[in-house]
Amino acid sequence: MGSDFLLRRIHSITGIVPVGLFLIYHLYTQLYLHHGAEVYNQQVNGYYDSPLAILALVIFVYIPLIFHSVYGLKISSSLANPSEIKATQEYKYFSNLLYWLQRLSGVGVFLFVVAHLANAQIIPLMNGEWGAHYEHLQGGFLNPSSGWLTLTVYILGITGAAFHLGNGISTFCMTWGIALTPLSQKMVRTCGIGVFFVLVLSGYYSISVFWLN
Amino acid sequence: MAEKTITIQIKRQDSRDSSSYWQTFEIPYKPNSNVISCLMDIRRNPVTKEGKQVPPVIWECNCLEEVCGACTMVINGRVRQSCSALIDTLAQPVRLQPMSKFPVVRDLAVDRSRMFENLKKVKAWMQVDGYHDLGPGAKVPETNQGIAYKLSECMTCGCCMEACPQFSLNNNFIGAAPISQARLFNMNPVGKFIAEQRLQPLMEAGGIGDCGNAQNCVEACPKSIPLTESIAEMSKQVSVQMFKNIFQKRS
Amino acid sequence: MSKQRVIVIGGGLAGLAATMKIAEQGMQVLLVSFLPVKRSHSVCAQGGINGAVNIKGEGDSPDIHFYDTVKGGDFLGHQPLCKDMCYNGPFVIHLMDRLGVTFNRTPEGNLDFRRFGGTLHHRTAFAGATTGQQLLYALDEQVRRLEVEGIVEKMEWHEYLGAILNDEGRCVGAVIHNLRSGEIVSERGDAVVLATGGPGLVYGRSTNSAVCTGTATTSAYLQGAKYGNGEFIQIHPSAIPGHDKLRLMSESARGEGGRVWVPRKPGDNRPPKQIPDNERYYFLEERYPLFGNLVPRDVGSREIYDVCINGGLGVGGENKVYLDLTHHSREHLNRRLGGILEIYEKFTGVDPRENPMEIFPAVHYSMGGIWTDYERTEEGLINHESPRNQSTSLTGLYAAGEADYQYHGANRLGANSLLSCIYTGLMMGPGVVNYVKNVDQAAEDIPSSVFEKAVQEKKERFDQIKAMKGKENPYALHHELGELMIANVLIVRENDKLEKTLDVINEYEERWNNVECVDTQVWTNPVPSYINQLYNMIQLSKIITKGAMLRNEFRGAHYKPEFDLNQPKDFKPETYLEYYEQKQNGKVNEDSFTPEHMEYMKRFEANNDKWLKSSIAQFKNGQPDITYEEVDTSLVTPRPRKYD
Repeated sequence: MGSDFLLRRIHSITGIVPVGLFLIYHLYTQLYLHHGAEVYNQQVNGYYDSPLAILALVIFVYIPLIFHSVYGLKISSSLANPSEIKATQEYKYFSNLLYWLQRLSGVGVFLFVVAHLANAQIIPLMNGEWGAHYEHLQGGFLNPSSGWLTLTVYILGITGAAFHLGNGISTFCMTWGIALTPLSQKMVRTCGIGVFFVLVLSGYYSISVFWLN
Repeated sequence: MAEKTITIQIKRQDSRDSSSYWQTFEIPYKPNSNVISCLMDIRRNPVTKEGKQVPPVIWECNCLEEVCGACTMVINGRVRQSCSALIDTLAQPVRLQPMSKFPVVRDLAVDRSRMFENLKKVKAWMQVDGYHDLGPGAKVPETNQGIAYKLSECMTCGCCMEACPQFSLNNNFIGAAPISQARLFNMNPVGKFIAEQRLQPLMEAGGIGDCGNAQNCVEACPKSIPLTESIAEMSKQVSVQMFKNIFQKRS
Repeated sequence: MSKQRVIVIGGGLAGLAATMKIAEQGMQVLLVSFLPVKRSHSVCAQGGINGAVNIKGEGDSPDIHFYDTVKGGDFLGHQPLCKDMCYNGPFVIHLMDRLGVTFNRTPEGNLDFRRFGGTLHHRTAFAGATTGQQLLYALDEQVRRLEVEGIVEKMEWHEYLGAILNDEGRCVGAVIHNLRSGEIVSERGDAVVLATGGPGLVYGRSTNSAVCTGTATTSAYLQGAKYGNGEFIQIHPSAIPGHDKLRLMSESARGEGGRVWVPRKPGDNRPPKQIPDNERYYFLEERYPLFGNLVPRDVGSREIYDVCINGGLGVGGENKVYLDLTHHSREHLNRRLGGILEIYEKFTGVDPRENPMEIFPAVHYSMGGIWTDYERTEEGLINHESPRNQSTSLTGLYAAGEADYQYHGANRLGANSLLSCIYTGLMMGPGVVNYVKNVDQAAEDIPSSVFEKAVQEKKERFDQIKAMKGKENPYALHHELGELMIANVLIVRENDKLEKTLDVINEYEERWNNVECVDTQVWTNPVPSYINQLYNMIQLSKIITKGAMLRNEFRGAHYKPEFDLNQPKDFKPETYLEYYEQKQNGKVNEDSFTPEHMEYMKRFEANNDKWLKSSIAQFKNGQPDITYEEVDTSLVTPRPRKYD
């Protein structure tokens, strides 16, 4: 059993557990935006009451996320030959489209996560404003000069992340040999598409709160 | 009225390392032609559209009825067997290119020995005791035979690999066909005795882990072999094997 | 003695089986193939492989299989070989099953068997309708395994150019042409096995694959080996007409109940499904009530030819008849015949599950081939240890599979070819090894000058070919040869036409000198090799044509109307056996037979005395010199064939 194989498998599983689960939890948390600044900030900050909060975050989110991202980038970058990429573009099948979107969204989400971390964690920390998450986000989205950019980046980011996870569920089931027949593969794909829509809609709604409230 | 013709553009290459170039040929139309019968017509009179005498085009073929796999090439952008590519169903000019995932030997002929080497890796054979009379083989249920027969139709043509975005001239991915062959032998009542030996190579670099689920293989397969089902089945088997390797290790 | 090895030329069923069996005995094998062995012509075999396993409880036995085989071959087959082959049929099928062939199964999980032509039993094991492919792959897999184990070495993309003979005329190696680099080299081998298949390409278009030029066997003939029964070319009744190839429509289509018919009214242009049953002429069923659509191939082809050419009843006025499977359900057809129906659909665009197929006979198989020897036992079987088995007339040079000549007589039964290929490959193994172990001097120890000389000869030959600057395109000349052979040496053979054909072939030989080597590049240039093959095909076409011209009788696939013995309609083969027995006992009571029958039997006997012999061609003064040799018919008395 080669290390390549193990790393692939770890990459595959980390995409679902914990990174995928974290994404679901994270988007779920964002729904608290619905209740305004007080409830939302309390909800977010409450997590950090635990003495192991940071450690848990590092072990269960940051390390797996970094591994999944870096190894994913490595996998995608191995497809470097442009003429070969072009040769396979002739096969206009849905699965092939999903294959390319999975790689594209992976790279996109990676960039988004970096920007998102900087925007939501690092900049507030440096400015000493950490804790007033709602206000910080509101300020970002409603900024008259750069708000449109923030909004665009978040919409792309949420869409990409939701897609990457939704489609990732069906590729996970293929990779681990869970969905065996074409019919079951179709079923998990349908489920994945369902997950994508649920996540995307909840994400969009959370953002829309800043305009609705 | 001008005589009806067939126009064929061919990507040619004189040797392994030389650069490629295109030539166009125009031949009289015949009903029910296929790409090979056109290449044969060109061979009998190898003159380009511009009237230049050139060496006949080199391509591989043998059975001409889509069971040997030899005449695989990229026709109008899609990989397939040229014998069963009927001219009447193709847009003209018909563009012929060698497969891009295997080294070109000359013109449309490529070197597909990588596929046969990969069959060695997964021990795609029965480990029998000898070729003498050892009586009848094991009984096999009809349903299993149906699945196995489909898998055994693989002619190692390489379509699944040409269409696969993960399979490259520059990597060592094993590709769909040998994975499917491993499944075929692992489902045989006697073949499964060495199932584990077929799984280990699939768990090495370039093994089944490199599959990216683009699923072009199953679409490109001229024999409609359920390759994605094979990949999923073998994924299951290697998943189980992985845990065995980790938790049932003996020193 | 130095390390020894055997060279096997050809990677089809026979070559792979021989490789396997020889290697199993610890002997190194060098396997040389024109193309990757997995692409060999054996993949085209569709219907199945015969063996009297008697799964259906019909009382089938190897003896009945043996009888059907020699009767099917019009008694020209060598009976001990045929018998041994049929006795080994069940073993071969069980072995292939053990090697992983995905044979169709019965509900109980046993091997399933279907019916085929020339027999009344379910005797043909099958894997869908691509049995040859599955059998070939199973052997290919074993040879790959032996390759990994280091006992077999494979040289693919290499062409055999000729045997290397030492001073005593013993074969000690082969001249091999690398089809990529263009190099010509010698390979030492203590025995060389030619398993190079048939010569269908002599006819241009046939059911054969692009490599079936018969060039390897012809080169053995040109080196002095005897060539047997060249004129016996099987015309398969059902093929799909095409420009590049006449694709086979397997006999299994009829084995699974396919019915052959034409509209009763000439030029009836209605779509086939609109023609009611009583306006359809199921001519095989009407003419042969007992065997119906499953008459042997020679009979089937002749009848189709007769209905189309003489009767003018071909579909739409063309040379085509219907092969109809539409009375079966789609599911049933897909399960039992999927592969071939897909081929038909892919190449014609018509769904044969909905519409009758349109077919016509085509050149399919050569019963003839390189002459080979055998050693029989008292019981009329074969001594498998004998080095004589499958040996050609050149010591150390062996032949197997379609390349040999002695199993199928004047007509091969369907599904016997796969059996004969695998059987010969396996059967000859021990004998070849015995031969190799007993040679005086290992090939390795023979002075290199012998090999250098042979290579030099071939190099000069190829240099001459590459320098050819004539006006003829070799591919176009081949096309002409094929059309000539199809027009004159096919189902119906007439002496005046054959004579003219032979003259034209000799002209072609002249014209061959005037071909142009249209590609002079060194790397991967098939043209010089093709020009050489064309020369050999011209020589082979002479063997076929001259053999056909000289054989003044009607036997099996060799049909000369002029010499038809005109079997009386009411004649029964048993009558002849009665007569024969009386004769053996010393006195024939002529009164116990009708005069018409009596006369026929006398004609039959006289004809057999003269012609029940193998024709043997030898290359003399640039032409085939044809003589005749006795056939071992000691086990089953030759008798008139009858299938109705």
